[in-house]
Amino acid sequence: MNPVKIVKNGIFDENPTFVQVIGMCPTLAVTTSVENGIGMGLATTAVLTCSNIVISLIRKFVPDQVRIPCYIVVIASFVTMVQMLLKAFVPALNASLGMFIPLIVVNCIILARAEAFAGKNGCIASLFDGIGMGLGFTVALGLIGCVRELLGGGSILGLAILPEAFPKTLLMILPPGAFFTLALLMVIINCIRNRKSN
Amino acid sequence: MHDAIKPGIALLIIAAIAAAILGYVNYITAAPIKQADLNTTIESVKVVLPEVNADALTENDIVNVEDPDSEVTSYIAAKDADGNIIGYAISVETKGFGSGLKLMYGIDTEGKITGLSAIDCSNETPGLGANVKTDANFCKQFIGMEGGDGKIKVDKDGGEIHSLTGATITSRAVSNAANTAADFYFKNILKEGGAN
Repeated sequence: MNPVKIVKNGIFDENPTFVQVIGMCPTLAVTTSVENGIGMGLATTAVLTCSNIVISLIRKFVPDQVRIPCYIVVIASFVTMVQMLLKAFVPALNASLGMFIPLIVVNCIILARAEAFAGKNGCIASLFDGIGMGLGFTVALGLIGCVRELLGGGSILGLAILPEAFPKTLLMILPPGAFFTLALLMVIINCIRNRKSN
Repeated sequence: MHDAIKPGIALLIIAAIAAAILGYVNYITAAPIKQADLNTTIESVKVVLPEVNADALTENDIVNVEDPDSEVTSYIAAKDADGNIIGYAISVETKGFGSGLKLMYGIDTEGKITGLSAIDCSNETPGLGANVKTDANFCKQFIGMEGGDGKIKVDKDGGEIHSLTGATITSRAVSNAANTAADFYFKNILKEGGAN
């Protein structure tokens, strides 16, 4: 069990978005800007890390037949807590992310990691798996957000990058743009991976 | 028998612990959430009715409208420093490009719009419709207009409001909501003799 390896695994080798292709709903829905993408990614990372820790701790207590409802209870509790804490203490962040937080409950990355990793591994390993997978998701959402915000709005993180004369492709910040960007990035990433393995 | 009960009990215990923790978090965050909501509302009132004495506003000033047929959710009677009512801040929740577009309009005692603030436009398209929150020139157009009966319209519908670029639907929703707010002022608030 090597923490660095586990984190690296989450970000590169088994990146939840580009390699495992799970959690597509938030990936496609919220990446209209870099800020939204990274915010959603970090909120997911927080929930994923917490739920991974708790699930790895209770894994021996939970009977096999009811493990899925138990995992869901844990995940939903953390999501609700994150939402209440954001609303109470960081209202500004809540204003831009509030809509997406409840989506985290149904983000299958979290349940997938509970099933595939936290239910079978110790607490520390699960912590690093949560961080790795969460960061992998954050990087992916940030990248997609970058492309869409740049082409669709001519800016990155709200700062105008492209000159005013450069035509903005509104399609990129509309839903179809999410699919185009995701496909484009996957082509690039798969090309790099194939070249590496050859 | 034993095998059937054990998983249920395990789930019950986990759910009970989760409920207890959630109850506690709710208990400590309820007051700050209420305060944060109130601050957001007061900030918006300051935008739509700049002459308001915002320090005097409290939660009790918010009048909720419990009418499921009306898009108006609540209103606030805004007073100046001398305690005279200078206008009403009317909150409207309508459907723009997405649902849950929350706007607040200031309407002075003559029924003219004094300002517009987008409270929640997170379901509008970022970079297009969501610009209603940041585009001051768009919001300024409403100031001084008298709404109601569909009088405020976007240019595409033959009105005077220049739409946000690429966001006719949001602009139309904002215009319609301005009429809704004005209608509410004339039909409900004015009729009741300006209830507090």
